Amino acid sequence: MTTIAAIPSASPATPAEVQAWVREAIASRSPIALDAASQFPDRKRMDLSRLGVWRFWEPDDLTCGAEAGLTPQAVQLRLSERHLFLPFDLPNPGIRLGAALAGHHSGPLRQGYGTLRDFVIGIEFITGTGELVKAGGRVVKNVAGYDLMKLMIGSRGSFGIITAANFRLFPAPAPAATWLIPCSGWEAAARFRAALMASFLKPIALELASFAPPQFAAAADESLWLAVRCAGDEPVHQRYERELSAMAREIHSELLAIPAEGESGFWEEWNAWPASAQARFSAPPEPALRALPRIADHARKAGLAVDFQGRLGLGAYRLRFRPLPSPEWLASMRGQLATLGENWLTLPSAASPLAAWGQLATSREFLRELKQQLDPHGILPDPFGLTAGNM
Amino acid sequence: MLYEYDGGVDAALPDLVVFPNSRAELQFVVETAFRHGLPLVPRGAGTGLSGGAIARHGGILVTLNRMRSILELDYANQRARIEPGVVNLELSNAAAPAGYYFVPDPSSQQACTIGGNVAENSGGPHTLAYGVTVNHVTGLEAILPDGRWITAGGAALDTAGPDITGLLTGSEGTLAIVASITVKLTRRPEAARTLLAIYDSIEAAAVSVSAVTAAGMVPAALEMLDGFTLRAVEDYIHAGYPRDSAAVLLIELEGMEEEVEPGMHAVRRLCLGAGAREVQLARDAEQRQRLWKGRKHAFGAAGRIAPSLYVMDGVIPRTRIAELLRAADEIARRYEIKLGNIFHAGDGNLHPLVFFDQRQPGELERAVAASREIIAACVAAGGSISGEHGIGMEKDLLMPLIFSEDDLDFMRRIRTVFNPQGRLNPGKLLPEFRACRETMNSWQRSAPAAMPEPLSVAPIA
Repeated sequence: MTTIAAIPSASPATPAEVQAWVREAIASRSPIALDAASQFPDRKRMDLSRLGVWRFWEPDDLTCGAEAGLTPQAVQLRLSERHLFLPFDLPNPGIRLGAALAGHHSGPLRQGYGTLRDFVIGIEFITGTGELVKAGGRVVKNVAGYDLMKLMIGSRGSFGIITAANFRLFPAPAPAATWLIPCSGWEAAARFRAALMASFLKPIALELASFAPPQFAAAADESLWLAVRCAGDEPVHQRYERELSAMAREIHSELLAIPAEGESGFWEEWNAWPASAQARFSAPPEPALRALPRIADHARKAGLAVDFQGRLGLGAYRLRFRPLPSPEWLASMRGQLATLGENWLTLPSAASPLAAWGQLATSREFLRELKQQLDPHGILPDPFGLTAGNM
Repeated sequence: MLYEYDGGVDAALPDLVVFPNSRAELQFVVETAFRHGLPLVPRGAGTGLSGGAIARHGGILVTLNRMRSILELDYANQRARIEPGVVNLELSNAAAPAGYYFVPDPSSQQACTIGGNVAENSGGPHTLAYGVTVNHVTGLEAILPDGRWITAGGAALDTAGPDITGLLTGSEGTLAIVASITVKLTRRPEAARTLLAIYDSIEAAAVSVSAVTAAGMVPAALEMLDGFTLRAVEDYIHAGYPRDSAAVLLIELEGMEEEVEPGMHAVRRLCLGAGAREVQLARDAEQRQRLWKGRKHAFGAAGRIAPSLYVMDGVIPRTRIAELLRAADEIARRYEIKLGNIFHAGDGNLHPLVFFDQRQPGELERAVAASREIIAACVAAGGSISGEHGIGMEKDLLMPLIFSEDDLDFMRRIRTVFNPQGRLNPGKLLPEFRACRETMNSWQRSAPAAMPEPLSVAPIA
């Protein structure tokens, strides 16, 4: 990984300072990077961690607004005073709101609550031409204007630097319960998923991993591990246990209940793993279960080990390769996956040096035009290689 | 002429109406329009309420309701791929035998198309817990005004980079014309309970909404009808709403049996605590359907009261409902118009119904002026000018109430990429300040001098 130590950086404390800094960058033709570990060492790095103003909080309306430099923990702490929460369980606890939004990060709770794209109701950002722009609002339902929240979340700064966002909040979940199900193989995992999706159970997390959680590692002889989390009162927990037990028996497995006192800690550990992953993989849930073994097989033949963890119910996974694969291997893998169907998409996680791959060609063409229109001076980050000369 | 109108109050005559049956025919129409420099206006069933599907500047009206195939029902992945002309309810009906449905359920769901839902990012009563159209669309295939195709997303949840599917959804046909749509299918819940909370004052009903929200309850639906409107519904549908009440809340809870039962009791307690006279539980499916039939046909019922009806759409924070209803009442009195209220109370999405007679001199002007004040009151309360009907040609000039010129300019730059010559649904969503008499909307025609100045009275973030 390259470093940017020799490049001056800025640490603006207000959106107006971000705006001034962007204008200065335009004037001096100095491109900006937002990631601490930038792929582009010649860019100035902007640190947004001082944008720490709590814009508003309407607990009775279940809405709030916060600046990009706040950490999710700080937000959650304040929300917990009124038994509210934001359902993002990010793999990197040190990440700031702005980075979480720009990277469209999410965790296991995505199964039950969706992602930031589902509960950000307003956004503020500085454009590539130095204007402060807002979209959405403070209300939970709003169709006025283009949905710039969708454009900005996940764009990793390509079209603007997010300075604040407004959120729809959720009531803190009822007591949670978690079960692990060791799983003998892919076919069993697919059967378990099909049975669960056909039931009336609606877990808040439904996970699949290629490795055992630490506390089960010693006894692990299964190749795959399923994890199911529900929220509710005791009768709800009892029903989950009853039905999940039956589903586990169908795949010749058993339920391993996580003790209530360790339930929260279990998920913290579970969710810490993706920080070391290098790539995301997303596909429709069922074909994803055909693609993952193919990736593993292809990797094994190339002398690579691959671990994964992710959303069994949704088809979104994180991958970790050891050692890192070459670009040629990635291109070959993409070709393999393309034979299984469309929309096989992989993109780098925030800290990954792997190039983005899998973007659909037609969208990419328009993303380039969009980039040119919204960042005509080419000073904003370009993680997807949309700027001419930066492919 | 039918195609001069949609469900709103504006009208404009297209030069030509075409009905493509296929992707290839759609492409031919778009390329022909491009060659001749003609405006293109996509249209579904024409049930929209903001003039979004009207040919404001003439040109070709592209009616997509003959592209109505359900291309794929993929229950294993909980997806459906459809053409834009598929009627909303038809998709849910098609998926019903497998226990699935499409969540967004606008009141017009028996007629409106999912292409139209995508264009407007439509909602409906049951989007409170599950989200509006954009939360249920994962992929789009669309054609640009120059005839090029764009594919955004697909059946997978994630795309690499920005969410172009989300950007196109709700863009009101100003960026592209959608030719196929991939949507999520949702498992029907095991249990559903419908409560009817009955009130002697509309304020108590509004307080109940705030109480339910503040308690962290998220019902599947939470709808309000005021006394005037519910009596109109009773005259038309006989839904079972008590005619002597000042307001009712229609509340639905869904989920597993073990969740719904305690939730129902909690909501009942909250409503009674906030002043409900009585809270009834629908005793069976038949009564539940009747209660909902009343809500879904309320606009039709309201249409029987006066020769002209203007269905408004505004949003406010849910804590401000009582205050806004008082303000709306005062405005209606001042303008001497009759106002009804029926709305998605759970997400603060108001639909004041303005009753008037367009044939009487001055009534349209009074109705429009009153409506403008009510929308301004929504904005002043921290809300927005549209929760689900869209901007269309109805509210383009109200956009400066909530967006700065920089905000609007950024949106124009996005439109330029997709629709550089502005020929795709011109005169919609973004304000045009040089409207001639023929292309003015009802707001402009009725009170041109009173149009809002560009301002930002409600900081967004």
